[in-house]
Parts: sequence; structure tokens; C-alpha cells
Amino acid sequence: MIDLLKAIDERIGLGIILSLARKKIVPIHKHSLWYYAGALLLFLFIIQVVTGAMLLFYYKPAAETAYQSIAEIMVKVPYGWLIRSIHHWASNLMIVLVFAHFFSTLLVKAYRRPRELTWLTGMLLLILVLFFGYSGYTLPYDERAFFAFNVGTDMAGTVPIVGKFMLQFLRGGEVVGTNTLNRFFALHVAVLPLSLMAVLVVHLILIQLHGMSIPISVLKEAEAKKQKIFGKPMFPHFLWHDAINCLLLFGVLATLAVFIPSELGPEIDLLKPAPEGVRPDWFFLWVYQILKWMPTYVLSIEGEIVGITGLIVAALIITLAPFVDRKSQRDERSPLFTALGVVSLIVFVVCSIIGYLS
Amino acid sequence: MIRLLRKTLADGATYNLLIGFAVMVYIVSILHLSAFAEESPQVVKILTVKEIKEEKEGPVTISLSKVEEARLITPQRIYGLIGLWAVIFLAIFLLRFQVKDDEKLYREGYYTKDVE
Amino acid sequence: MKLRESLLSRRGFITGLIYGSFSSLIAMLGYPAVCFLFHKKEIPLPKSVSVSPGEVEQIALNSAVYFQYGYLPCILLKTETGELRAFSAKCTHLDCTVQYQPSQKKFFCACHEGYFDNTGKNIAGPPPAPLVSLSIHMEGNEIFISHPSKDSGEHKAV
Repeated sequence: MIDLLKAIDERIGLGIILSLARKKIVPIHKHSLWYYAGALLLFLFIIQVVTGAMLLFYYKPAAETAYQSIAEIMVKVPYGWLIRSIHHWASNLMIVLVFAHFFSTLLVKAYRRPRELTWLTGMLLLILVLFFGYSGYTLPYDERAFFAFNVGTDMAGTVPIVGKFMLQFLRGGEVVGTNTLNRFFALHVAVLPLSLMAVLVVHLILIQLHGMSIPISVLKEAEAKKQKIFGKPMFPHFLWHDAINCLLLFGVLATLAVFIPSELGPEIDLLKPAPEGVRPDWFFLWVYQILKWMPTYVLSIEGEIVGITGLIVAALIITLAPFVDRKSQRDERSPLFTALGVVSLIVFVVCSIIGYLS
Repeated sequence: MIRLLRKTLADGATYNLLIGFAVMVYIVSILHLSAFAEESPQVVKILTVKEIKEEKEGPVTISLSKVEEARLITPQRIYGLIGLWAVIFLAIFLLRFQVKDDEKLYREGYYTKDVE
Repeated sequence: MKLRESLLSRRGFITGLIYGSFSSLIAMLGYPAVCFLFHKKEIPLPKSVSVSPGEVEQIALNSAVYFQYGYLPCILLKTETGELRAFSAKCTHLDCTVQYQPSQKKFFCACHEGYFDNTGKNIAGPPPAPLVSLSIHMEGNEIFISHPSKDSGEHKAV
């Protein structure tokens, strides 16, 4: 291995990379487990790009052909069911992990100085991943996808001021049709991947520059006991740990793909009413449930608009947490924001469960 | 301003550029003209035909029941999965050996040496 | 002769095994991926196509019309003696669609200047083989044209 490094070093020089690599130390404490989420997410993203590119060989993005092309992938193409199921389950796992990563960094206050920009790019990545998931399950253009198009773009339309333009931009017109499918396809396959990669590069560079953040509770404990925080180098130890985690994750993915392959709902029939129990995919159930609880009118404003605006405001507060949370900037315990984090986690989980059961 | 313009026009390089540009436009337009010369006949007569398909050809569209069939678990899939897990566990087992060895090397200072 | 020390260190052995297991993992993942990517969709050609005699009668002598046979573009030629000949319109060189030139009584491929005579035989230019000839037969009042790959029964020239 050293000979390979020497060969590359002779030709293009490895100075910066090696010095960064040698310096990178991962602290080990009781919350170290959360550090693994990032590498797993990157691994899942790579799997998504590869399986997505393979699915692109057979998917036909037009209203008349999309459904049949997916049926062809499942039935006719060898291992088509496997590639599609891996793509589907990796997307679900990616969303689970991205929420876990988001909540864990929120609760341990990893957004404090100097990592504010990392937090902001992270929030952007969260939104991109959610949009990825949403645009992905509309592509088969089956019954659920059709209603997802209608409801989702309608909700975008209720946003004050920009809503109408967003609705027309997303639909490619006034109604949901083949233009909508084409746009979501373009977003899912080109716009979102490029945006995500660009933001991800910034996110990763910042993490390499700043190193891993240590939770305030751990810092305080070490201070109290007058102990230094123990750490292990990234290369090669944590690289092997990451490799082990990624292998296990891949095994889980393959198991899920074999035992619960992805489904294909019934084809769109424009004259059929929305089926009972139609709802968004699991990661939007919390939004669905909160909006269901909104009264039809709140002080003469439509309940939908109030609900969505409320959610946007809450998201903004969380996004601006590094700039509002003064205590954590001083490396002090910040119970208010911990409470805020815990409340948002509970709301997310409880609303999702209620949305699923109802 | 006028002086600057006169100076630019007096400069030989400008004239070369202009002449080069004019020659390029001329050549490109000549090449383009020849592409129009041999066009295929504008009016293409097409006969309407009626296709007679094979009897044994099945329906072209794939039904939902076929998709459900494709989703069923077969023994081959289970064997493949067991094989995959076997290789994964083997790799993890070996990697843990490697980690232990690397920790020993780190303690001995192997990884802090410079690349010679 | 027994060696005092192994030529391969323990670390080297484990590293080799790791590379081996990773390679087998990649092979296990690569096989379905390759099968997936190399799948080809068979688009069958129809058994035959039928053309209405009325339309065929309207074809002028020494001229040709195009028709579609499944995914194949084909050309139906009526010679100056009234004989009907059907060919695949795909040039045998690199699959461009040929055109009939009545003045020269030849089929001409514009892509690389290939020529076929009015029996489909390649006479000039790069095409290496004659145009695929389709068989024409009458059944009652209808005219049927079929591709040689689907041809099974007798046929007589019209």
C-alpha cells in the first residue's frame, strides 16, 4: 500500500491530503456512535446514483409509458426487481439516517461555532434528500403518484406570495400531466443530484477543516474530571469501522430488497376517485397529520396556509438555531434548545405514527 | 476615442483577424450550401398497411398480476442472500483483525511516519 | 526444507484475504448488474402485412412507395412492366433508408453513395450485400407481403 502512495506522491503530490488525513482524529466518548451516520449516508447516496443510473436504462419518462416501463423492469429485465428494490429501500434508509443525523446534531449542538455553515449546508441537504424521496415515488406514475403530484403541488401552491408560481413551475402548466412527470424526472435525475453533490462537497470540506464536534456534556465532564478526551485516528481505524458499517448496511439493504421487494400500485384511472387511505409516503406523514388537525379556517385564513406557513417558520427557527442559541456558542449547556430539539423529535415521531395508524 | 479607433484599425493584427473571420464565414457557407444540394425527394409516398401478427404473441402490456409474481421470493434469491451475508461476515471478521493490527502499528508510530 | 519464518506475514495474509473477500463481493454484485444492463428487448416483426390492391394500383409505373413492416422501413417498387417487388429499405452498408431514382432505375443510398439495381442487387458503392427481398403473394383479393424470416409457405410473384 505504501508503494502505491509513494507512486502517486511522486506524480501529483499528496501533501495536503496526507497532512489532513494524519491530523484527523475522531474523539471517542459515549455519543461517538452518531459520528457514523455521515459515512453511511454517503455510501447510500453512491448506491442511489449507481442503481438510479441503471434504472435509467429502462425507465421511459412519459405519462403513457412510465408505468409500463416500470412493470417491464420488474418482470422482464433480469434482476430488475433487485435493482429497483435496492433503489427504493436505500432511499428509505437514507431518509431515516438523514433524520437521525439531523436530530442527533441538533441535540448535541454540533451547530455551534465554528460549524454554523456546516449546519446550514446540512439543512439544505435534508431538504434535498426529502425532495429526492418525494420526486422518486412520483415517477412510476401509478395511482399514488398521481395523487402525490396533485396534493404536493397544491400544497406548494398555498405558500404565500410565491405559491402560484411554484405550482405552475412544478406542474409545467395548470394541471398534472405528462409535463409534470417530465419535470419531476428532470429534477430527480439531473437537478437534484447535481445540487446535492455540490452542497455535499462544501459540507464535507467544512467537516474536514473543523474536525468532529464534541458534545457540550462530554466537554463539561472532561473538564470536571480534569481528563483529556481520548480519540483515535480516522486513517486507518475509523476507515475500517466505516467499511464494516457500510458492509452491514448493504447486507440489510439486500435482505430488505429480497424479502420486501418494491411494489407497483394500480395504474392511473383519471375517472376513479382517490382511494380510501391514500396518503403520502411515511416521511411526510408528520406534515400530513399536522395539516389534518388544522381547522378549515383560522381567522379567515385557510387552515392549509396557516399550517404550512407554521411549519416553514418552525423549520426556519431550527435552521437559524446556531445564530439564536447564544449559550451553546459559549460552549455552555443550553437546555432551552435541547428541549426544542426533543419536542421536535417527539412531534415528528408521534405525528408520523398517528398518521400511519389513522 | 477616435484616435483609439484609428490606432486599432491601423494595427496589422486587426486586419488579419477580420480577413480570417471573413474567410471562415465564406468556407462555412460554401460547405453548408452543398448540404442542401442532394436532398431526398420532399414528397415521400407512404402506403397504409395492415399488420398480421403471429398467433402465439401474448399481450403487449404487462399486468399487475405478473408484477406481483415477479415480487415473490424464490429459493434462488434466498441462496444468493445467504451467500452475500457469508461474504459480508467473512469480510467483517477479517477487517476486525486488520483493525487490531493497525492499532498495534499506530501505537508503534507506523502511521505518523512521513512518506519517503 | 522447512523455512524458519514464513515468506508471507500474518498481516500480508489477512490483507490478501480482505482483498479476496472484497473482490468476491464485487463479483457477486457485478453479476446481477451485468445481466441487468445486457438485457435486450425482442421486438417481433409481424408475420406479414397486407396492402389494399386499390392503393397498389395507384402506384405509377417505374416508381416506388414506402411502407412500414413492424419496425422495418420497406419499399414497394412497381417496375415499368407492372411487376411488384418489395425490399427492406435499409441499406446493407450502415442502415440508412434508400430511395428509388426512376431516371436511373436504381435504388440510391444518400449516406455513402451506394447503388442497388431494381432487383435489389448491390451494384456500386460500399453496400456489401443486396437489399433484403420481401416476398409478395396474393390470397384472394388481398396482397400480402412477408419478411423472409417469417416466410414459410409458397408464394408467387405478382
